Amino acid sequence: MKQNTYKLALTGLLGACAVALSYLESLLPTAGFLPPGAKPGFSNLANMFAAAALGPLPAFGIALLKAGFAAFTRGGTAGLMSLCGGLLSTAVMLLLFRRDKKLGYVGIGVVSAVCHNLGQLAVAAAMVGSRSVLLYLPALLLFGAAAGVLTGLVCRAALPALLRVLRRK
Amino acid sequence: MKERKWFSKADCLVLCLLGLFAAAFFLWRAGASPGTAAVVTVEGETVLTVDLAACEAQETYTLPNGVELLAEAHTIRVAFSDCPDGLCMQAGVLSKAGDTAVCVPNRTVVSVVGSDRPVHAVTY
Repeated sequence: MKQNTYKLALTGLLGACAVALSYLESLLPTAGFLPPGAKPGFSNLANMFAAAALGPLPAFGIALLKAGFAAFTRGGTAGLMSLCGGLLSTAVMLLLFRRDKKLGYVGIGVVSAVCHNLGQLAVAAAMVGSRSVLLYLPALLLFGAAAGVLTGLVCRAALPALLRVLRRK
Repeated sequence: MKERKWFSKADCLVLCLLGLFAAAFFLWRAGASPGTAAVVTVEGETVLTVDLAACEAQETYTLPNGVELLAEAHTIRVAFSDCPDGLCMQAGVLSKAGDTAVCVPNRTVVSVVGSDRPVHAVTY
């Protein structure tokens, strides 16, 4: 029981971190050579921590919180895109952490970043009723892969600290 | 249980595949022909076709949803949109066949088509 309360509190903290990171990266200027809409996705770190150490419920909870924050600050379209990207990438992360033995942290970061992009573009394509949105895909994938490498590395580097906190009940 | 690595061979393979896919795509895009027309769709329906081959002087088109397009010297760009992120405006000047600007909040897509799809008339 005590463990559950602890987990809940940690999930809340990670969710708050995710929202803060989303806000911080919205302050970054957009560089000209990047595809429109490309973001480093730092807040996926919180999802990845949750998927690696806390389990499905906290991980999906954080994805939902992020989507709610996006909808609140950037409108319903951004919220829906964040929701689909977030749910897809979180599901894939959880699956990989449980079942996959070959990928490293970097690989899981990259695959989940790519899934985030795919989920978002699928929603965008459905909303505008045109597949031409998919022309953005390669540039987004490339940028997403770079962001995923960073997420994976930071997650692996910080994970021991998080696990220590989890064990110290 | 074996501990998960920071970076594994499988990770390297994933990154290489993504890189190859992107490189192939950019090579393909670099060879695209100049566009002859711009097709504008809102919610999947074509609402406007601009003949870029014939367009020399500056011309502004305003869609019913408030999106403003500026065609000039065989190119077109989204000049104004009221969407929160302005990504469609950031897509910049479209000139080659296949160039696309998308405004998801306004459900609008501007895409340039090439000579394989000739446009005989400007409709508005």
